[in-house]
Amino acid sequence: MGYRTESNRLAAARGLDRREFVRAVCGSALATTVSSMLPQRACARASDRRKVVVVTFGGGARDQETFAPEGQENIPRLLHELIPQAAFFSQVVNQGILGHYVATASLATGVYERFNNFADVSPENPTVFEYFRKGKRRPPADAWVVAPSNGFNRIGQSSHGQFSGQGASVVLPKRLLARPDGTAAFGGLEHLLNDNYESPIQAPVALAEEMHPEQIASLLKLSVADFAAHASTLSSPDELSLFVVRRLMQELAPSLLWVTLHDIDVAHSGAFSLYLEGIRRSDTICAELWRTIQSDPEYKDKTNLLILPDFGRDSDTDAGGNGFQHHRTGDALSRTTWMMALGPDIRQNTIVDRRIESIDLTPSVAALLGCDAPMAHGKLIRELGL
Amino acid sequence: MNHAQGHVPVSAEQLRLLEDLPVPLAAVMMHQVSRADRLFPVERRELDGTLKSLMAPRPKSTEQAVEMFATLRLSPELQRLDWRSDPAGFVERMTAELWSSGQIETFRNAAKLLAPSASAVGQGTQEPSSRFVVIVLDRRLRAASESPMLFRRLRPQGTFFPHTEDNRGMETLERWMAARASADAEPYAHWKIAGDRWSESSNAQVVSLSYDGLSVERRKLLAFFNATRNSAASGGPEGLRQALLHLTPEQIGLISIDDPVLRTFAMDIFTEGSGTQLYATTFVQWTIREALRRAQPQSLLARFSSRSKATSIDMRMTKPELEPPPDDAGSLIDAEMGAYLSYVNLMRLPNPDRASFLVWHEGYGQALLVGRGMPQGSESTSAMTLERILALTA
Repeated sequence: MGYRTESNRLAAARGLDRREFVRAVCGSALATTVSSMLPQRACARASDRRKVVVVTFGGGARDQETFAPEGQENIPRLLHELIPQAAFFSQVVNQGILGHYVATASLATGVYERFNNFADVSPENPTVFEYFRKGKRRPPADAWVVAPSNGFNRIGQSSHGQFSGQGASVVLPKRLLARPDGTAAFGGLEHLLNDNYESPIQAPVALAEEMHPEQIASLLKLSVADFAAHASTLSSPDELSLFVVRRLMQELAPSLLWVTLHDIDVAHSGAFSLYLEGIRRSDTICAELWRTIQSDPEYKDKTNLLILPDFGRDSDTDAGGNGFQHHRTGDALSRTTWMMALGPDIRQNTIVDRRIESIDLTPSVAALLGCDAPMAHGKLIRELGL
Repeated sequence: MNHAQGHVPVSAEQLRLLEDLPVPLAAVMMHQVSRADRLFPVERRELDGTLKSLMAPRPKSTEQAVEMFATLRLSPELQRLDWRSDPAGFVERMTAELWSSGQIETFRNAAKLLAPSASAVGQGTQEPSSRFVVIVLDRRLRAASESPMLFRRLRPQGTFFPHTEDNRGMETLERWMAARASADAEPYAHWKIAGDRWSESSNAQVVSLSYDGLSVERRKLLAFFNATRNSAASGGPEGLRQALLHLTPEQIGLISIDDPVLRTFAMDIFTEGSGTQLYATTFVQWTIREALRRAQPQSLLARFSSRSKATSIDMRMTKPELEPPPDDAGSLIDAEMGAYLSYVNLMRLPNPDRASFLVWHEGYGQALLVGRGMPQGSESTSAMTLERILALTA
């Protein structure tokens, strides 16, 4: 269909702009068919020791606020610290539903999930956590998700019957600070409870299957009160998530860690300045996370870090949207985003401008960890050394 | 039928026409027809045009749109619902289903095909004076840096006037608006939109809305959100959407607006706009967008003032009376983007080449004018007043 062709053209053009800009800034090599250029990753090499950290932005950022010349001031650390060490994929397309929970679930299953974004349901297809734990016979403590609380409580475990009980543990940091009704349990921490920007209210959540806050605090070797005391020094929910991630790495050193950042999604409130603040904060958090990985002996030199938004945001020119505020139009820009990958299995300072899909993430992460994701629809991203 | 907001009875002829259409299109058209008495004149003309174009013989693009709508597949559950009795609820559910079934792009493309037919039918209506949008940035909106580069996105489109200190600027703009309203008395042709209240009493021919002026209503709506989420039957975001569909302007106290069209418009701003209940800058930007899109006014004067600092929405809902302190620096960034998006929205209306757009920061004394005869990407070093600038494209 003509529209799809045009959409593909726009997506490709966006990827090309991004590539040219990154190359100008970082002088990266161009790898269009890099599978032949990269060192093949030996299957039995070190996958049993490998760790993977995935960071998704549950609230995409547009190029004009990030990789375009006028946006680069918002992502100094991604550009100057991470991209020179990374393989940068300039064209990652999401063909699914543009709601954050369902889209992130699709990234985690490798299948475009079709459930209602606001429903309190598990993904239908097995997640990468389940493939990993079942395939590698790993204990529950080896796969974790840190995510905002708007529905993400079920992302660690699919409803697929063959993988029952094989999912990831999910930490919703907000839950450690909130009363059951969502209000702050500790005075002065209300600003850390912001995270549900797509709707003023969120779905009622079944708490029965969730790990209790005290249980999580115990695993993290931290009392809820101490956690609250530390939280009082932070300025946003994503900073709280980074704190929890570091604690998890320190105490449990999981092999598969999935972090969903959400500060950027404050864009739904229509306040452009808050959206920019969210981008800058995410930039810092990604750099700090990589620094943490490189400074922790459990992770250093054996961890691949993958960073990608779940999708984009609407363009200024689509009459169906309202610019940066939402991701409702389904236009090419709202579907096209990017990914960067860093780590021992990934060729540094490389740009890949062939189109990949966001559902390619799951089979690729599984392969990096030495297991298969047989029900995923996505394809292996060969440029990750696979 | 959605009785909460009243509805326009559908004629037998209209119903026959709609029943011959594919259900997704019929439901959307039924929704529009049922609220015809709350549409602006331009919208009513477009609706009439679309209905006319759907009658045989149809224009080619309309026929293509109908065929595209006919390819959409709805679930048996949705098909069992009656789109005639509650078109708003039906459309809401259908939209969610089209997203989840991956058909939303087909729906959007079909709608786009239908839209030009409506405007084509509307051609020939007299276009009075040239459309003019003026945006004022309150002097309290200040950047963290000493000398910010204002209007960066807009500068390529027009002429920048860096010396526009004008202590009587607002008076000039009020007079300008009154003169335009006197010259063209069409209903809903002239609008004033603000974050804070307008100092002057409203001219009856000018629609006037402000964030501060609707504070009581906003708080009632936030309290409604809170009550909805805490109710036993809360259905989460979807439940809230359904509840909002059946909310009446009276339920949030919008009785102060006599005109039923404006009353509904004001409620739509709060119930369909995201963040309009929380931030003055968002309210102004979204209201400009919707006024331009729906009413297509000839004159629009808007004023961005400071929004409150970012605060947990939980807190805003549980304490609706709370107004956090202002964030002047953040508001300037919001207002600049708001001005740019307003320009983009203005350019979407008919005859964009005849339209003018002025943005002025009253504190920094800087302005930018886009319009006929104004060089693009240029700068004038002359000292200017707003009166002189307004005359440049008149």
